[in-house]
Amino acid sequence: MKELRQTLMQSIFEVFEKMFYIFLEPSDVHFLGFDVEADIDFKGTLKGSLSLQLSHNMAKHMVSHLLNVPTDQVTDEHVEDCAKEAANMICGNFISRADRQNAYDYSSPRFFTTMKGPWPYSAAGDSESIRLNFDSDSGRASVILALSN
Amino acid sequence: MSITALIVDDSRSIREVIRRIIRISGFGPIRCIDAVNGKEGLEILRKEKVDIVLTGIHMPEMGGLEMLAEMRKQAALRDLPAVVVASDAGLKRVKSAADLSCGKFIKKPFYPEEIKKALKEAAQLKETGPHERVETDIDAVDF
Repeated sequence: MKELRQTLMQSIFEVFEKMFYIFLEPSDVHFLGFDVEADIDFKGTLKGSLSLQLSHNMAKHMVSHLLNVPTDQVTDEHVEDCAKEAANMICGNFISRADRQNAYDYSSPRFFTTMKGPWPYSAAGDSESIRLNFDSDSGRASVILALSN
Repeated sequence: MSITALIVDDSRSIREVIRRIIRISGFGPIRCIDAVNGKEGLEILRKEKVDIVLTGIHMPEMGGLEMLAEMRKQAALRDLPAVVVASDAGLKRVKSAADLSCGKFIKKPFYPEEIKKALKEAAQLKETGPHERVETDIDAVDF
């Protein structure tokens, strides 16, 4: 699990730095009350799901940096698409590093937001999970990797 | 010389990012057409003259590799330069793309320069005319 944790950390940094120009700082604080979440399932030699949770401010900055639009022009549609794509990139990048040899199936990313009511934290309660928390000038993020048997 | 690029991805953000990179790439007039999946991509390819296809892999209805397989069955599209831009970059997936004469596999997240380089190569192919089918260098995909 320690190796997977390290690999996941590398993937998260790579995605945030290359695509969103956001430099994350790992945090020991287990933040609650995220505003948006994007989940994706993967199935191969490893099986499970990855959830990306973001504060609204972080999500808006990600869109702003990715598409070069001011934060006040970021729409809900932008936030949804960007969060789903970020989860997709982190998951694909992580799997390609963790198990380069084998092919994987991926679900379409799902999106939840507190703007539309509470969502189920599907991945957080699973038996084998890794949770990584981050802080930055742009806001907060957490990534939860849940592995099924 | 103007070239036409078909961008196939179900993420609007990724299509916009690639379009913006293309716009500022400095290759002169480049026309971009969007498709949200492989099925829509094939429909566009039937109607439009395209010089390069940039496609994702996993998309609803028809994925990028399925689209490439269909393209390679058609004489008019058999040698059309194609670039896969995807986060699913396991060896088997990269090999599948190479088997479909995908000239380049750009792993997400990507630097703008990687897209620019692919476009430059497509523009060169257009200038030099018919070309040999290219092979993806699996070792060149940075893991």
